[in-house]
Amino acid sequence: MDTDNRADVLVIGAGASGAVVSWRLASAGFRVVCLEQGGWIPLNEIPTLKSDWEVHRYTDFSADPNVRRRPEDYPVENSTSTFAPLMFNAVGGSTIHWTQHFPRFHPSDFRVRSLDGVGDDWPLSYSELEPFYDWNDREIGVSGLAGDPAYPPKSPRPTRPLPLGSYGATIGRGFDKLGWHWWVSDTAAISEPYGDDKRLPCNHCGPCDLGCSRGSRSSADVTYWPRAIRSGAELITHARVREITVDSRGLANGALYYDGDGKLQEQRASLVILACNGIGTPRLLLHSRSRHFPDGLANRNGLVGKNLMFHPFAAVTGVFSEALDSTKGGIGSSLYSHEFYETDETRGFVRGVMLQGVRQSGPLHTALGAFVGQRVPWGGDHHRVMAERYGHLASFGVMGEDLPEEVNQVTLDPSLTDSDGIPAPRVTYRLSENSQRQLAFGTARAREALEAAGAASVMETSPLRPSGWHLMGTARMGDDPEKSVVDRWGRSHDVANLFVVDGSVFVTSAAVNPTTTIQALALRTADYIARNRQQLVVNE
Amino acid sequence: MTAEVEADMGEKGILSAAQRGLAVAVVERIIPAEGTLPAGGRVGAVEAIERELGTAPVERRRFLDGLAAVGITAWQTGDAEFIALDAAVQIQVLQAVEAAHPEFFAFLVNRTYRAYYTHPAVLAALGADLQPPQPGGHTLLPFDPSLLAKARERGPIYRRIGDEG
Repeated sequence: MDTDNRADVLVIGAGASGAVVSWRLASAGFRVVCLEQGGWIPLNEIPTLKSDWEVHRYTDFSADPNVRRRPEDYPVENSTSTFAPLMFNAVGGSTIHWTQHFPRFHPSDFRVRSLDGVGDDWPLSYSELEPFYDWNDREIGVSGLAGDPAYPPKSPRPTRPLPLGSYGATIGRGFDKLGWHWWVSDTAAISEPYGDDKRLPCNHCGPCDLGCSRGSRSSADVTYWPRAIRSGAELITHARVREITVDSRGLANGALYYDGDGKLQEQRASLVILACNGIGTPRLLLHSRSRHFPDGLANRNGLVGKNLMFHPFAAVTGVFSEALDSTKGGIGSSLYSHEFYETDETRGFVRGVMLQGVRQSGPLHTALGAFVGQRVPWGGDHHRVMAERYGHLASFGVMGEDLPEEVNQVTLDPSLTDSDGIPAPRVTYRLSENSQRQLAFGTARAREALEAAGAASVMETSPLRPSGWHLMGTARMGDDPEKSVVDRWGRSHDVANLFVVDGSVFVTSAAVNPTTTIQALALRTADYIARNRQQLVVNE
Repeated sequence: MTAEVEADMGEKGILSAAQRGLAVAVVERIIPAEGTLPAGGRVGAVEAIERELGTAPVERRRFLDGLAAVGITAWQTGDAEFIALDAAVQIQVLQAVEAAHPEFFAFLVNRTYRAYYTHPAVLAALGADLQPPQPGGHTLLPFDPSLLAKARERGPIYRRIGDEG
């Protein structure tokens, strides 16, 4: 074991949030070490450069770790979950397979208890987070268009909106016909040269979920990490953390991890930041047991792992008679409608849904079911149905706001382990009645929108099982130590020098993709640590 | 597996020649030829399956059992080998096997589609790109702000809570 290598800050996980805090703190002069269980994904090895690119979506680049089964992946027991959790373990984390839809929370999302009597209010407001949203957008490069009437005024987007093509014009006409809100998406990809990293603008290749070989997408591996490393952050890859260690006072003092050769190593640090996603973080906390924390680190109130939120999610796909150019352009980030975002009690549920435009991928994805997962039939009708669908599909993801429930949770599986013998997470999750009603309402509206746009037929799958991209709530934030795991800054109520910065800290889920909020919160936490260095960096 | 069948296995060692012939016939029924589109058996699907099964013993067992079920069902349904049946009866047989052995059949269809829709001849016939998405990408006209004219007309629709910054 190497014990002679103390860092100011140990960051565990090099994904969306770990990259943010590593950059911010390294550039503020902290000695930062980050442990990441995966490795770098070189841009020249991205599947979209290969002739069999579509096959990789179902094999080594699957978003599901149980399918992908790379050496750095850990299994996730999900047989008692409505949704299959999805994630990527690498430098950049799940931004590697990310379709970079980048909507912010609304002001109301931080006040759902006060406004609608459900969930809990956040211990911070939209206006407190807004400067960090803006800062993060500027750092990574975002495309979009300010002026969306569904949001308070936003600062100009760093780069222009990405094109929508005939697909977007067709869908937009449908919304306009119905008089419903829609807008071009904020996308975490650059549409024109931006910043000093010499990244190339997006060339609309399509399958962002298989990685971006141009580096146009603002994933953490091409934005924050190069700058974090230039600022002095040390990134150790293929380092799988077994547990966070504590000293005699019950303060975190580092972590034990298995290196790429399977040898147990120790990294000491004055402050520990967890950035392992909404499943990996509670898994590690629950596995970090000690005399001080027999039920897991930072878990004196038993809330670590509880209140897991995904987003209730359904897929609705329209088949259009005319050819669309929907295979061109980013598959998951184009346009959206927030027409039904807020509570309307006449609908029979609280909170709301977003309709997120989804383009079409290649022939294989189409044949295997496209976004709705409904396979083109084999046999005599195969070619006819394939001809109807390929190049003729446009879809919506229907995303509802999940509300926290303690029965939805991450625990440690009693028998399943990763390749280093660390217990795998077990995910228990079921859709609430409110979520089911959201999805029923949302799929009906999505169908209506597609038909208004001219779809000849519509397919839907609700809920869509392989949609567990958004992992939230399992180390929730709050002012009350009895009802939350971390405080308003992401700092553990139980362990003064332990912070959490990933989606685990979410109090509620909103009905939008979470990454911009995850990164804004991480930036805010890092800024807080930087401003309070003397109080927070505890020396032995 | 009998010694006779093992002796009949080809150099690839996964399927015997008879099994391979049966698998090709099945795949050609899953995706039949049409116009310029080749049949599923002509694009290397069975060879790809054999390669995959070489490193997947559980799937290999399931596949061989499923293939055997096709042969048995063919005799039960049409009183002949699968290959000798006419197309309509072959489809009946495969529908019965799909119902009785769903995991095998889903694997077979999935792998057939994988081979088929990554084959250059198929992509060309479909009019799909023969090149991977990168580095070429696609060209789209720049975003047209006039598309959002109607959305703008409504003015703000967000829920005001007094904390809009």
